[in-house]
Amino acid sequence: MLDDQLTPGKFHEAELDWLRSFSLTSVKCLIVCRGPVRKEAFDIFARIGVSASGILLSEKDSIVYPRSLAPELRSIGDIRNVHRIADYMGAGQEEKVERIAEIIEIATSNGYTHVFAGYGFMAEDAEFIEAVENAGLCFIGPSSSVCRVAGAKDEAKKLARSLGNAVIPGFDNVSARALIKAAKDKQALEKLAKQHSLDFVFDKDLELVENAELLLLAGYRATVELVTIDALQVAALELAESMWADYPNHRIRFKHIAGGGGKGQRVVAKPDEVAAAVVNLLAEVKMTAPGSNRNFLTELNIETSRHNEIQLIGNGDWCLSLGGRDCSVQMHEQKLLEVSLTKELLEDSLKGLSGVAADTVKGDIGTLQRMEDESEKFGQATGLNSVSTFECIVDGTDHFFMEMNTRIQVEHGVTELAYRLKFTNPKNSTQSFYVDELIEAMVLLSVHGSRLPKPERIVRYRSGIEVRVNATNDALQPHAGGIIKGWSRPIEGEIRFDQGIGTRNPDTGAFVFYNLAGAYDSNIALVLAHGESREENLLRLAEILRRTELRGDDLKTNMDLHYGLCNWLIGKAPMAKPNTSFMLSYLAAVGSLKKIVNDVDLDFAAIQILQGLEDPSAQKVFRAKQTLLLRPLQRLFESPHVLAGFLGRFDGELWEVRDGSPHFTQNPLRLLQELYHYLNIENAPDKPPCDVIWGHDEEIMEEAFAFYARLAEITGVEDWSEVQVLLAADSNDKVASGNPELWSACQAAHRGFQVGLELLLLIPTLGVASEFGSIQVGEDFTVSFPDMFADAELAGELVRHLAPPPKASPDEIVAPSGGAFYAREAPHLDLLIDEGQHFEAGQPLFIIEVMKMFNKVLAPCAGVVTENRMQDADGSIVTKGQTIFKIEPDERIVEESEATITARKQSITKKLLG
Amino acid sequence: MGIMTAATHSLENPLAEVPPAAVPSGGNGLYDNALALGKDLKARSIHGGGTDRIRIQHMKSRMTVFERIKVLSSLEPNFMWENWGPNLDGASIITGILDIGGRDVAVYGHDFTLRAGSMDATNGAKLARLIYMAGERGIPLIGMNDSAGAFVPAGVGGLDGYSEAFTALRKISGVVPSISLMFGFNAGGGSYLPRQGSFMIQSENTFIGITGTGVVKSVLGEEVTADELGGPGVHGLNGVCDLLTADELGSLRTAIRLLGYLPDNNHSNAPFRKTSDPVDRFVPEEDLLFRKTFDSPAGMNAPMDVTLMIQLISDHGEYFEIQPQRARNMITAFARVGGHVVGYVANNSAVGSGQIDISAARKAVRFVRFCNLYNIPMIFLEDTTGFKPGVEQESGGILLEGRRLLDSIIDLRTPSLTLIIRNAFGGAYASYNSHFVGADMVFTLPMARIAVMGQAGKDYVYKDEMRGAAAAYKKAIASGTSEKEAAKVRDGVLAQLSARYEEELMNPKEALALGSVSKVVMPGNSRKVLAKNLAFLMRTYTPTAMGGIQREFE
Repeated sequence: MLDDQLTPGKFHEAELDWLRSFSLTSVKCLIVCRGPVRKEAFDIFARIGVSASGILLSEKDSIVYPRSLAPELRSIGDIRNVHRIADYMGAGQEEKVERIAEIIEIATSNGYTHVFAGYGFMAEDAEFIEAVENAGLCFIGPSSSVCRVAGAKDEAKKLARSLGNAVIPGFDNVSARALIKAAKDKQALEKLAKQHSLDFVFDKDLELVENAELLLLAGYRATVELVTIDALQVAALELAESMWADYPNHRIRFKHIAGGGGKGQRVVAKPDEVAAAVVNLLAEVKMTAPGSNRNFLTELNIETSRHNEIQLIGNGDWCLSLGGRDCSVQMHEQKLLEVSLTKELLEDSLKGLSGVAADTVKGDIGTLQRMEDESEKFGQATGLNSVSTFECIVDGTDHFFMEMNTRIQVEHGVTELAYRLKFTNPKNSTQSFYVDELIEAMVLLSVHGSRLPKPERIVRYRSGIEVRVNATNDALQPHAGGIIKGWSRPIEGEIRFDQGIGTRNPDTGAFVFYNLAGAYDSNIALVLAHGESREENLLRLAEILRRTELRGDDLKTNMDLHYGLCNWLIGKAPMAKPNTSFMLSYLAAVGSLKKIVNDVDLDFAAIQILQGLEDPSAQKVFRAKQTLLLRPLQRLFESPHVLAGFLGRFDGELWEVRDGSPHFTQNPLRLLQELYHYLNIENAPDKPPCDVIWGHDEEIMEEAFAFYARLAEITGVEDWSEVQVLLAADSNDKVASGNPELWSACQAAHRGFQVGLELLLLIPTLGVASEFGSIQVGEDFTVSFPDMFADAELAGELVRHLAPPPKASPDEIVAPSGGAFYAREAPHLDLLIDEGQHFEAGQPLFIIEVMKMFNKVLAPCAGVVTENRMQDADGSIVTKGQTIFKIEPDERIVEESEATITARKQSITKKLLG
Repeated sequence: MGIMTAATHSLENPLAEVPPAAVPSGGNGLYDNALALGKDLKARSIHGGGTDRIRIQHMKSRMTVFERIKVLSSLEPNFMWENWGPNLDGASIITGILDIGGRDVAVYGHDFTLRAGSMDATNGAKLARLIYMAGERGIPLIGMNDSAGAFVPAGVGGLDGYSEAFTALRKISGVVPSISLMFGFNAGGGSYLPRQGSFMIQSENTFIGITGTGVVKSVLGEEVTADELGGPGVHGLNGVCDLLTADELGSLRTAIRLLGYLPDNNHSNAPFRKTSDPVDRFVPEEDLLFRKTFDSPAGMNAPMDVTLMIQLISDHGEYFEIQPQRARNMITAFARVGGHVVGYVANNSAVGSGQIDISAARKAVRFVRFCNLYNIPMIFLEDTTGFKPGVEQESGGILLEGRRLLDSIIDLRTPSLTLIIRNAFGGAYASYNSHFVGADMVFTLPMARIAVMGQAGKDYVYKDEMRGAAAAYKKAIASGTSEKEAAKVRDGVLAQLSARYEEELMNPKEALALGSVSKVVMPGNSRKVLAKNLAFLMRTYTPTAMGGIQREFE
């Protein structure tokens, strides 16, 4: 809470009676989620003055992996507030019921008054929330009634339709349709009800299919299976085919009504993909057990849309929208970068724009306005009494309602940066307070909801952005495990939610190693920053990422991707509007870059240049500059994402491409200086010497910059091409009047400082050769990619270059990562492959569950399984590189010889040098 | 700034303002000469091999010795004997005292840029003097090794230099702890010397060996890469190196972390850190861990990663493994319990059933002896079916290595506690810090199976019953019972005997009755019990230098 002077404080310690009346000291809250929000909530609760809060550890937090003890334990204080549970959801309906009972028992027997579930599965599980409510506890979040109406994706869609909101074409009742295929009339439904003793009365005012839905609901309550997975598969196929008849060439999305965070969804393009998709999505949300609600939406997949969402807050009487967030930058259904989208930001960005650009922004302002209006109505209709997110997909200026997430979302921090809430005493307008954090608002609403006046939203910053730091490789595939051994502290302007990983050992002050295998999912941390414009915001974020040092063993994160992407956006167009397929194409473009970088031999390039120098003094000077030039290039080429960012950021500024070949537009030493800074190896205090420019290299740079600065000072010439002309002249009266020796020394210095700098042209040349540099941002802020990046299949091929497959001898298939092994997609299905069977390249062979994601491992080649090393081993933990199958490949891959590789690298490097 | 340069290419700014020459401070030319001399000498000591050499070092992604020192401490180093040697330069080895986190640490580092960091008589003596000073003053030593070996032109002098340093380091061994960081390519004396120290840390792209690959090829005809011959992958497994890291920065930071667990010398305790992690708390995770392990289908045979247990006992779950790549059937680690540094030796049933083989024994011996010399209390976590039998082990001399482990434990004079988790059989039980080889206290969890041997023991304990079953089987066959039927009866009896053995003897009862074990610790209380007893033992322990008789075997 901030008082009217914006001074932080606690309600119960406030001077004004009115403020004190919102005291939260009666709250003792049990936090029942994992991930970054657990620590965030814990810290907020302590700050706002709740009496105590407790956390719930799962086994993965404590005893499954060494070095993955919940980091929160280091700062929790009273250990009596730490509780344990095997896992949060349990496998299947029965275990879920058990878990819910366990959690409630923990809460009640330890005197908790409130339960907070963050953004985990349980946060919008009406069954869980109802159980909490029935136990006399208060759930911090939308009540079960809101969840039932708005949280189930099928119900929400119906409501949206009734309110006149635009929705995506599709069906929301596949389960009921499957049911009436078997029970074709009233009698059949009633017979079924009787057979299972279900509480069901046929309502003749409703359609048959609606009656089927009623019967299904009764079935779920009694955990009775009325529709089998097989029947669902058949019905889903029928629906999909009917949609393909209307919308050929479209893909279809299946989305479980309780799915979220990318889980419980599958997109299919062909009829033969339907059956597996259904099983997989149900398995992912653990809805395979008989009697669980397996209903999913079947809707048109909008391919080139943007994903916008509106933050809502309400107390049941009032409902307020808090602007939007654009979450279109996502991959594998996982959001990566979320930017604030507010009226104020858009109106500001309109300044100085005209034509198409101005029209586009005006259109966006209108769309945002409509979404905000609709969302408030929707929130009001559901009786929203906490926070929720109204999710839309946006295509041009059209928007479709997708669903309402009845919980706080991962990206809530973006909204918190955009707006703060101002609450004013309705009886005395001089009394007011502010709330910056939505979680705090949720607690307030849960305790004082009905008497909390409708707040005003006050602009805090024009822009807010969040990046999700995930444990993924360069191709954004999950990377299990890895030990974090060091993480620099947040810098000014950085907000970091890191689950407590950065909390030092309170006794010794040392960073505590953390094994990521124990984390909730692949999300390690959230990093947020603000700005007075999107551009300033991106610059601040880029600076944060530039200076973040995250070290460890076998550690792979998407930090490089974020750093590259931020810089790419800054250079190309900060207000660019990527759509949801942007990330795949962008990755493909980076993959294309990587493919070429792999064949660049920098040492060979240096030798080429050296050999081209005839003058011994030129050779000597070049040798003296070798580390200065090669070191940053080597570092830049090590990470394709970092390279991509540099290309995006400085294209057109430090060089330009004319007729397909790049030219410096400024002194290339400027490029070199920017490169050192960009790579965070410029000289700075407190950095280890191995991470900054070497002393002798810095001396050369200083000498060179002093020379060119003095030259500009004397001659008044600054333009790079003019400087070059000037130095090519036989004499210069301003610099060396009557002193030919001085002038030739100047020329020698210029030659010396410039010798070998053509190596730097390799950077833009790679951009040209890979076509990465051809990505365009149009006047309407849409991003367009060359065809080979836009085409999903070609793009997939290119992305592969970012994740080289593990080196496996061709006679075995190894686990590509650590995780839990499964030989089949679901317990009742056949093995994906067995000993003696033949498989084709690309065929799924087994499944590795990594951080709750079921990853199919595809055959790298065709062959026969000669030995199965994982007989009856479903669920067992395998390590990266562990042999799963011995195989006999159909075709032995001929490995390239060292000599062939060298020859290829040298020829490509030569070509790139031009 | 040579304006008159004739070269066509230069890296000098001819337009630089020439700084005004220093104005002589008075008429005393002699004084100024002295200042100039002093300045020159100071510069020589840190000049190394000059920029070209430094650049070559940097091209290999290696820091210079001065840069490495900066990573260890941001405070100004106190260099010693700066101009010792005929050349009045740094003599390719830098020696000094560094303030690392408020502690005095003696530091040396080869300057590879100067004569490839090689050793001659002078710098051997210089190094030896630093080492002796560390020993006399009782401060730890960190060595940053990056040396091509003896300086060949120095002839025997180079070898003598090594001998002097070898001797010094051996003399302070057991007096002050030392950490050797391995950078670059180290062969011969350059490898022996650092290994005389307490701990050796090697980073990727470095080499340690008796000789380099060239000699190996010419003498033996073996063609190997330097990494295959003496890279971290080799030395992490054979025990030559105690810790491996990705790069120089990793090694330097690891050294600082390790130093946090080491005492200054053999007559003081390792740094105590008052803990904010309550020592009297019940640890429910311990109960969960055992429940999950022993309730699994494999039951009492289920493997368990013992580092999880170490984590649950230690302050804030932090521990620091030594030789983590090698013999993971035996874990050796430093940690703090109730603020006191302890050394853990733990059987790890998750690897090779936790059996003690030659490699595991060697790893543990090395660690136990270190803790013993430096007054570090020890906690033994026991869960092993015994020493590993078989031809390979016997021919490799497991008897010698097992004996060394036993002797190192008998010699242990620092407070030592044993917690029996599960299996404690036969010779392994007897030798593995049991009460009678010197443990101050032996505790047991209720699942412990303390017995003279595992299931095989039933052949001896129920000899008569076993014979009876065999006889009954024969008799039944003779009297016409089908073989299958007779075998079924016999196997039934055997199974019963197994169950009986498990019930009667595979438990801690006898050991408790004999006073061999102090008490039962209920799961969840291990931290509490160990911390309490450790605190008691440390309250009544005075750190002193080892003394007494030298035994025949080390």
